[in-house]
Amino acid sequence: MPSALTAADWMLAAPLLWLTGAGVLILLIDALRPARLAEAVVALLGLTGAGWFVLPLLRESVSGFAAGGGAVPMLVSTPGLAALALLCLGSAFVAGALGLRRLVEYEGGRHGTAFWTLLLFCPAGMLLTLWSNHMATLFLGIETLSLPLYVLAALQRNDEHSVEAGLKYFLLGAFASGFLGFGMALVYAATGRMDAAAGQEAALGPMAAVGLGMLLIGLLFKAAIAPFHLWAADVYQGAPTPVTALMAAGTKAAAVAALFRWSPGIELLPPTAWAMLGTLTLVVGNLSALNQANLKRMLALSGVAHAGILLYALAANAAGLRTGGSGGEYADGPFQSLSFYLLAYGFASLAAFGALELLERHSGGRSDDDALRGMARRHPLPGAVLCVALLSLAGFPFTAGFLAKYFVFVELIRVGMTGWALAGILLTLLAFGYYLKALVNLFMREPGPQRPAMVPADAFAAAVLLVPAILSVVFGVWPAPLRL
Amino acid sequence: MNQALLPLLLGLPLAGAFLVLLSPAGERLQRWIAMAVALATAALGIQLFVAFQAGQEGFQFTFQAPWFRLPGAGEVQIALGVDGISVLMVTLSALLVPIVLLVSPGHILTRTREYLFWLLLMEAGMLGVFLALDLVLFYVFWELSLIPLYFIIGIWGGENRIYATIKFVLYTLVGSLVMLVGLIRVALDRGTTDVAALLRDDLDPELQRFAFACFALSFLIKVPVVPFHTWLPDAHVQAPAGGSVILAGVMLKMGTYGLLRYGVQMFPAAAVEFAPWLAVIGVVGIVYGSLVAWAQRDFKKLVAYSSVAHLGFVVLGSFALNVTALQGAVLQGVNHGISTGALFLLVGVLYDRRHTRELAAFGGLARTFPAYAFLLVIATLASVGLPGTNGFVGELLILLGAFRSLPWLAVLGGLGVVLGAVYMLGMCRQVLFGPVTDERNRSLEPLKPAEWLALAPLCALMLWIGLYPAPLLDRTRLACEALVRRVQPYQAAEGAALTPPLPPGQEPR
Amino acid sequence: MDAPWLWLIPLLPFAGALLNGLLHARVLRARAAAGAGHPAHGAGHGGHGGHGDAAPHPLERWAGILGTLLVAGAFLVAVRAFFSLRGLEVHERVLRAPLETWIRSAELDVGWSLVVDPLSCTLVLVITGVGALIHLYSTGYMHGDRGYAKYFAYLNLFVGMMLMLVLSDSLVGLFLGWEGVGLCSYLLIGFWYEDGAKSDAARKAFIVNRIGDFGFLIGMFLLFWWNTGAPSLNLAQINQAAADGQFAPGVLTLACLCLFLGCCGKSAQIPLHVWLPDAMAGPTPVSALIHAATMVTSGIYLVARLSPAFAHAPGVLHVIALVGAATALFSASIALAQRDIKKVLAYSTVSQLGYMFLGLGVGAFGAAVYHLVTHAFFKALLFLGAGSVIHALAGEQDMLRMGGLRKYVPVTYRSMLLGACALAGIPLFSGFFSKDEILFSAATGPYGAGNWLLWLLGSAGALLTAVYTGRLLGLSFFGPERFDRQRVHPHESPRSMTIPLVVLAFLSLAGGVLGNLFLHPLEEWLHPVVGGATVVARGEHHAAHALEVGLLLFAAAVAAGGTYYGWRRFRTGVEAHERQLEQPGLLRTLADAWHVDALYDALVVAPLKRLAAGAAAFDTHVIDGAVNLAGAAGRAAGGAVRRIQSGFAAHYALWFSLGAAILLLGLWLGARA
Repeated sequence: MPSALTAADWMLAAPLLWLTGAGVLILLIDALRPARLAEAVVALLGLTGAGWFVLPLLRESVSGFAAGGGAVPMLVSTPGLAALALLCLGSAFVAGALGLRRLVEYEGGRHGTAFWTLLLFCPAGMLLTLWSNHMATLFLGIETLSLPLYVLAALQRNDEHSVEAGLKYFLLGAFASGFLGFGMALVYAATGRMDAAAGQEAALGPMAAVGLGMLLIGLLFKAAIAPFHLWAADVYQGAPTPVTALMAAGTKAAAVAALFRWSPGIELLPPTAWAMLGTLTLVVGNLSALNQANLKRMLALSGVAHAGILLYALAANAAGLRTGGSGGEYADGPFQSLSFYLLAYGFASLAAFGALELLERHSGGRSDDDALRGMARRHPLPGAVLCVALLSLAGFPFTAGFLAKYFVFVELIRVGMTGWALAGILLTLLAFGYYLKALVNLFMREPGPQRPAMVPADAFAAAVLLVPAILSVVFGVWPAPLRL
Repeated sequence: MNQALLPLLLGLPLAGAFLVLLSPAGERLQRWIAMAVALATAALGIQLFVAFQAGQEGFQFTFQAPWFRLPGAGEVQIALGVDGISVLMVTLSALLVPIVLLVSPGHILTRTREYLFWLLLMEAGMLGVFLALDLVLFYVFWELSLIPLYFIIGIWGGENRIYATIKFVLYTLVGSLVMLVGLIRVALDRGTTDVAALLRDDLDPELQRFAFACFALSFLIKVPVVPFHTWLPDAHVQAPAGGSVILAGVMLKMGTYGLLRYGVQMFPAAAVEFAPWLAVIGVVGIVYGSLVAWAQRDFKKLVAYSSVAHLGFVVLGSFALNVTALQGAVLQGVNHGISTGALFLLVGVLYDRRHTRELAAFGGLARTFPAYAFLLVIATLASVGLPGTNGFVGELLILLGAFRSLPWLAVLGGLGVVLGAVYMLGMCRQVLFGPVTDERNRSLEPLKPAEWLALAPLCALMLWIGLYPAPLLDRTRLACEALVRRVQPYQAAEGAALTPPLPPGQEPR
Repeated sequence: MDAPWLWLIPLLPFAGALLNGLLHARVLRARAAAGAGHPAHGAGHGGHGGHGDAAPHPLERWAGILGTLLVAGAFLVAVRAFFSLRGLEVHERVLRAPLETWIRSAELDVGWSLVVDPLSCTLVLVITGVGALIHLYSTGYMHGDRGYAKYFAYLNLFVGMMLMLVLSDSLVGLFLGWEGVGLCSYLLIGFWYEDGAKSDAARKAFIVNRIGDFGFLIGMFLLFWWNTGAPSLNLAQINQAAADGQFAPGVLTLACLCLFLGCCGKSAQIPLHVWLPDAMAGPTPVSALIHAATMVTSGIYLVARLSPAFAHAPGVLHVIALVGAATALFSASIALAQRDIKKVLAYSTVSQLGYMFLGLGVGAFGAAVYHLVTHAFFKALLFLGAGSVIHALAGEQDMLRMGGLRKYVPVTYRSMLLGACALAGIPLFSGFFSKDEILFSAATGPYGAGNWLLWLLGSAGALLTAVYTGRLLGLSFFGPERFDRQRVHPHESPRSMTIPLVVLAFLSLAGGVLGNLFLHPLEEWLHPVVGGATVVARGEHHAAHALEVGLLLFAAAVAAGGTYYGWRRFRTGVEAHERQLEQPGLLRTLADAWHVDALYDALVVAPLKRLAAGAAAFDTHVIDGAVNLAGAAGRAAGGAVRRIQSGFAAHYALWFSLGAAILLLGLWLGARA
């Protein structure tokens, strides 16, 4: 490694350093002079500052940390990835804002420091994953984002669901990490390469193919794609809701974006394979979500279905590569649609889980239909936010969710996969079924008896929540800024 | 003014919706705000109708603003405009909303603020459907108009409202999702989503067939035609009276409007090919809808099925593909909005007083509720198409035009004229005439001023259009002629000539 | 000649309808205000000549005056039109009130224009003249009914609609009146709507009429599109086009048959005659005006109006003649066995309309219209007389419960006697001449041997007509008094009711003697309108004078003999007759109108109702069932898939491994290939 870092290297490193630096600072504060407020401020400032450093990356693509001075950079950022990076940081910020009253003060504030530190390290891993162009950075990123999440999921250690969620996530995650690492080893052994383009070589031997497959399985697991999705429902449901929000919006974005970059050549995984995997995920996700009587679990499983639609963008990308190599004028189309979808899904998930968190505080921490019956009437602001979020997730017009689906299916139809598009679109009908049922439960049924609130009124969390909800509508009406 | 008219028309209810939602005003004030907004919109609608140049072909009052770029399909525009077909629909929609607001205090007893919000939002959505001149924009409004009704039925509906509202939304979504696929294919194929340009284009016949099928499915569900109609009775029966009025008056018109604009006009070759089948579906709707209506015991269900029959006429007229029938179809769309809207209001009047819609619960109301009887009889007569009312002009034009291109179907459709009398008069007999069987019907509260104000204009419109339909027909003429010119080349190719099928031994003129 | 003032003719009654409607609303309001304390007021109507249960409002009497005067005003304008026409050259006798815009679309251009020519002028005079008399009569008959003003509103509306029917220059305008009178008939039959049976009768009338109207519409479409010239719905242009051969003969036949179906509905001919007898549920003056004198003749008017077209349509006139003759005989037979005085007159009306169609069918258009006019006089008279009798007996309509009334209601009796003579066809009375002319035209018609069949049917009908007329007189005015004298005190009706009787009686007489022996003007007067068609239909021929005289004498003998027999037979021995009517047998069959209603019920109405119920069941269970099934299937699939989500991490790892195995195997195989 050359001794001096280039400007590009610094641009990419800055947000990562800022995040880890803030994390370390919090640990120091805790060690020297514990102060809850200071920790919170530092954490939120850390996230904000990292975001500020990502902003320049929105304008241009940046490659950095060329391995051994060679041609292959270890981190590559594009404007689209930078936007996703902002989403990851934003998710952490929202999770922080939501956790401020609930998790930080859990058990008398004993876990505040852990919460904040992990909340800063986790997005650092997400950013690494997003930008990774090298197996080393990919592995590092995945592990850095996963380990804090395992702990965060189990943070409410008196709640057996929370502990169970953390444990399950950890066990299965370790399993997946094994696949990831071993796959990398196989690819390296077969090709001698560790960069993302390695998989796109035309003639790969069986060993490299299996290796790539294992690497992908590691990512498919993180993105919760069938049949590697089964952890999602239990973990999303069991984890504290602010953490779930982070997982849904951030992890999904990082993992799917990595999947896009690391997807192998079309000889190995043709467009139809992607489309089949996507359809399978869509069917399984939607059908499992259909009869859920728990909103949180339903949202988790619907997230699986959304990942299915994202795979259609990968199918379109593969098909574009097949037909026109570069795809000419529209080469970026599939990725643009993918990133738009991830952003739209991210905003909506943040808003949905966030609003759910606020409602849960009045339902005794429960998220089942019975507990949430008519709650939108009693709590109009979280109700409205949840309504917008659910409509966006369902894909109703004037929400970003609609345009997101629209853009993906445009790409799919452009490459001639109209049949798959039709199938996918009709499968989303199932999704409308359960989102509408959730709205019915929240808005149209009579509320149950009033319970005492678990947490005092939290204007900060509510205000922060408004942001993703409003963005869901704004980008549904005016999508141009996000077409990166 | 002309440039700004349509954006204003669209923006006013939209802004009004959020004003109502966010204003701290009390319930009464909110109602007044909503009413003011709706009246202003209606005034703009009338202004649009009056200012519309009947002698000018193509779209008028056009407005364009860039929206976002769609790779492969150019710039998606916020493009608005009206032609002879849509102008009537826009005016009708704008006029119905204040009427719905007027009667809403009778049956919207809780959560008024939300109701007003959804209603105004729905108005914006509906107007957008008729005004949009961009495929994506059209689709967006198309779906937008769905959500408010979902909430209106779901929150303020009857016993079984949740089943009805989910069925309604999911059913119509099946159609619109399929339409989305067709829409994307067309946009990608032509590289544009500009409706005005697409209406001039000659698309590849294979694509036309595909796209037409996609679009038509959506519209046929929305209209609805048999056998896609079963969501309608449920939705109507469960919806509050105002929701029913909007549903019948405007929502269903979105389907018939779509069939003309995005069926016939955009895909003429496919339309010509499928026209006979769709006309058959229309006739089946007329006869089947009438028969089922006849067997109903629930007042609202009866009116709902009568809608199926009436819209069968509109579909028949739309796919007879000649100027007379098309003008009839457009006019009948308006007529249906007025007369069925009035009928639903009248059902609501009874429901507000007795909380039942069973026909058998009434009887002898002519004696105890004469003003009501008078209005119901007028609405019934318009609905059965008595000459001098609007229904007659529409049905006459449809049947007359259809007789030219599809004589046998027109004859069968004509049976609807008889069957319509059978079930509508049967309804009148049960509700109005005979002895008073239930003592509660003796002391019904007289019509409130708001109810008069809502119903009287509708009845006046029925007679006005029946006696002097020229202002409406003149406005639709050029647009319908343009439609026919659009399909004519393909009719020649298909061999389905426009000239009437001549009896044997007679030379064509 | 342009005559915009023609608009006054229909507009005066329309104005009356509007004003009376407003008046009624006013009265209702006043009544509601007064009766607010006790809403459960009154049980409903007994069902007869309307003697209501509410005290008349002081404003109400203006309704009758207003209604009568406005129709009389229309009559005066019609008289002016008559003289204007007279002042014109014979072949230029047309007055127009053009008003262009109603329905415009492509080839279709329909205006509101009114036209008066000798034919429509005749009809207008009858409608407004007889109409005014009946309005006057109604002021007495309906006195005290709670719907007094409403009644006059309807009646005025009816007159206006009927005038639109005869005055319009296009088929569409005619159709407006055509359906408009149907509507008024509906409203007036069901006037006492609290009696469910009356409402049902009203509905039946409307629906049967609608079946006819369906034919009308189809005929209209055929005439419009299958015209090889410029398509038009203008009546004169259709006639011209038919004369010029612009329709293929088959088309014209089909179109005219369709129109005739409409006529069958409106004019109650077989097979659509079933509504008219039930229509007697309305107030009696309504029966007189609508169901005897005017509306039911609109079918006759339509055929006469389009006589050039009908004459050029091969075969159609055969059908019309046959249907007319058959109806004449058929319903005369039914009239023989009716107990209800109004039912007798109703079937008699059906029968007489049959004669008119017989006349049209043999090409004697003028004779048919002549019979239309005389029938209007005497049938209106008979109905009004019957109304007077019913009035006198406080609602009794069963002739078997009357008898010996002539000394109680002398004016009614005498005028009805004159009307009955006219109906039976006693020489010198109007009906004799007009009916005889039709029968003579039938005998000398264009159908060869068929002429004699038609004549025979007609003459047999004439015999039955005479018998039931005699029966009617005998049963109601002669013989022992069979009504309950404890309860009923028969009395002559007020002046407002008897004056119209006397005037109509005079017309029934004068329409015959004066009209035929001295003037014989109507044929001549109508000649410019229907003369050409008559020539086309019948050809130029001159029947032997001897034959005419022979037939005349025969008809006179039949009428006189039949009436005498009927009067003799039914003056006494009523109990035996009543038993005959009740026991199964021919008379019972006749009394039940040959069971046609039951037949229709079994063959048409019941199957249709079953079809409707079946369709509704199909809708709920099959179509909607499929929709619900789809939903249920989705939920079931969801339930099945959910089972994978067991909650055990081991199971998850298993599925994970399975998926991984398949994926990796695929990749491995793919890479090896």
